[in-house]
Amino acid sequence: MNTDRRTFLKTAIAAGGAITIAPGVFLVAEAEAEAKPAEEPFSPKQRWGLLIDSSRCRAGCSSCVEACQKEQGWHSDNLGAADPQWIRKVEASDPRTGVSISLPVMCQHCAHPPCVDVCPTGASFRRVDGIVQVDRHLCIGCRYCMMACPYRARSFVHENIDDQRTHTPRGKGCVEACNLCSHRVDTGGGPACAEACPEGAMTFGDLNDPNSAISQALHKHHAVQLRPELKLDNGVQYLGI
Amino acid sequence: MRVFRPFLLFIAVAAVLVGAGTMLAVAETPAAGTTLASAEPMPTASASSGHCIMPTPFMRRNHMQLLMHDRRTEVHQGVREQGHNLEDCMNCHAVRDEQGRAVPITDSRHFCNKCHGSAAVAIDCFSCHRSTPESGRANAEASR
Ligand code: SF4
Ligand code: SF4
Repeated sequence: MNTDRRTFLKTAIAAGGAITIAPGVFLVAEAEAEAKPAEEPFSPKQRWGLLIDSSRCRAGCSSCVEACQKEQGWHSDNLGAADPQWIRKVEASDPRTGVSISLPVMCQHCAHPPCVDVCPTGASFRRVDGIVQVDRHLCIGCRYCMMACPYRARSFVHENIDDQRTHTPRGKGCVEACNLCSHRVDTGGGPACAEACPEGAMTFGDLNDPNSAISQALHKHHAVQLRPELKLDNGVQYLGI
Repeated sequence: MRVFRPFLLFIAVAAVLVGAGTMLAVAETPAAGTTLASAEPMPTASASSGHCIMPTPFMRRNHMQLLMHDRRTEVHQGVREQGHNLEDCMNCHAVRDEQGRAVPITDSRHFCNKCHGSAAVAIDCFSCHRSTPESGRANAEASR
């Protein structure tokens, strides 16, 4: 997020212009993400997370997926299930009642990530601020992590690529997944998906900061993690499922 | 030891072919073949700033160490040293074709290929990293 936008949001919020995301919940998280000084390391004081309100997420809408593709420079290679996929929309319905929900699913940024446990090279790693990502310099493309991930969050690049975004190196033979737009987070912004959602269904912020919008929302509402029985302590959590 | 073996072989062959008198001369100037000298790669900064982050002799010998060191500290610890990243290299050293477009690494005119091409050293950086400037800023500066 550029300075102007941040300044605007700060001003807007100071002026009482917070954005309502649910009764009593206000989206101010993006304005709270301060830019890390470039020459300083990540801080373990932060734990970045995402709260997704599925009651706001519209079936058929894929703004978040498109925003991710544009930001990170990935697209379908017409390989079906083997296509790159950093984020996907999932529609689920209860067969008894017919009630259906729609939600985006991406890497859940587990505190105890199975992908990191199985990686033989140390390429899959968890940053001290909670973002789980792949160091492509070390990835040998074994795909153990793809099999270990309970959320099918990772994909493998099968084709040569020459149109990468500068901030997102990616290439054939490596596994990749959502990194919460770490290049934006490190400069004070938030993930492109959260910014693009027309329904304001995604709140990004610091789970360790009790004053962040995401922490406040998590105190007011009962959020759930996908497959909580695995006890992976996910950084991505959901409302309304 | 491995490095010197071709030279020893070369010297031995030279000795057999033209006699011991020329051997000394060959050994003194091992890389001074005229064809090699004229084809010596001379990467020049097409940089808008006019200078590199370090003097050329330093960069010739050490650019790989800089990149290797930074990738560890940057990806895993988040320490970004200003001006020490591949993006800046690409922005400054972009080589333009006749249409003014920056040529990718697959083109022999690409800056990195000037040395790596003639030395036949394959570089892996660009199987993942973009080999041309992406931002409008860099393109505008480079075309000035
Ligand atoms: S969701 Fe999957 S890829 Fe992401 S941290 Fe957890 S196990 Fe790893
Ligand atoms: S594919 Fe890469 S990141 Fe995944 S387990 Fe293998 S080496 Fe690690």
